[in-house]
Amino acid sequence: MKILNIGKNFHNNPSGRFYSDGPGNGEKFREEYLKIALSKLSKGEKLQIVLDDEVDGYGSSFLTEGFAGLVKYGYMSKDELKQKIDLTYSDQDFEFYKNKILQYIDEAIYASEKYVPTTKK
Amino acid sequence: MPENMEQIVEQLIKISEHLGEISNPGLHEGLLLAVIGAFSAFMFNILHWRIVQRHSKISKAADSLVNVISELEPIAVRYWLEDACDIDNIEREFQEIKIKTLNRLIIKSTENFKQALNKSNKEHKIKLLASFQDNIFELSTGDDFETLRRLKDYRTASRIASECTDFRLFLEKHRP
Repeated sequence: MKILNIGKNFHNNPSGRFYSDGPGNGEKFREEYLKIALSKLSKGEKLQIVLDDEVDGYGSSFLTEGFAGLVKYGYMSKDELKQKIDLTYSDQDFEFYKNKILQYIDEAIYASEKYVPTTKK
Repeated sequence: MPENMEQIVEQLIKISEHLGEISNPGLHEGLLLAVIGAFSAFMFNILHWRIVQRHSKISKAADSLVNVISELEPIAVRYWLEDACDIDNIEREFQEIKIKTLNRLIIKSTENFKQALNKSNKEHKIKLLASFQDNIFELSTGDDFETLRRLKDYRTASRIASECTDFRLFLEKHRP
């Protein structure tokens, strides 16, 4: 199982939606980290995503953009995405964020929008 | 079992042993009734003490939650009443950090409150708590939260204030 530790591998302050919103934005996380890590998985393999290491919390805007965006822009279906990720945490408070991520993925409509990249900062 | 309770049980055993040595049946019965009465009073005190402890735990959890909601409300309402570009960068980042950390504190405090609730209608209360917690999180950190393109949104600000008020009223209603 491959591991993507959001706080250590991406940014310790994941925040905002677009490239213009700072270094820890959701678009950057989705395009440059999550999508790439998922594409490197072998068949049946899962990506363990560590939610709480060095991270204080998340906003709904980041989680929606970072995770549900993969479904919204048609990179993969919600079932495929949920099969490929394993959201983990050691701090029980982060169960709330895990449930939110799964909720946003479930609510996303597959390929409902065409992805137009915002400018990188 | 509390230490003093162990001592009382030991005393009761000793008394019952002594009672067995008393030959007068009337005295024997009277003493036995006195011992049972004393023990019942003690058990009543234990139960009463537990109820007081539980009420105190719920009150503390409710107070903590009310304080967090009251701290979040003005920051989140103000945040959604101004365009992102109209706020000084440091002030905006301060508001965003506070909104996220206070939401996390609401998650933690709600969990403490849930654990302190008594069994009466507990499932229904837990659903309502989850709904308040969820609505405040979605309203305060959704849409264009933490984006530079965020525009002021009176409707969101107003709904945050309304949701915080309803949450506080719920807590007041369900505290002992």
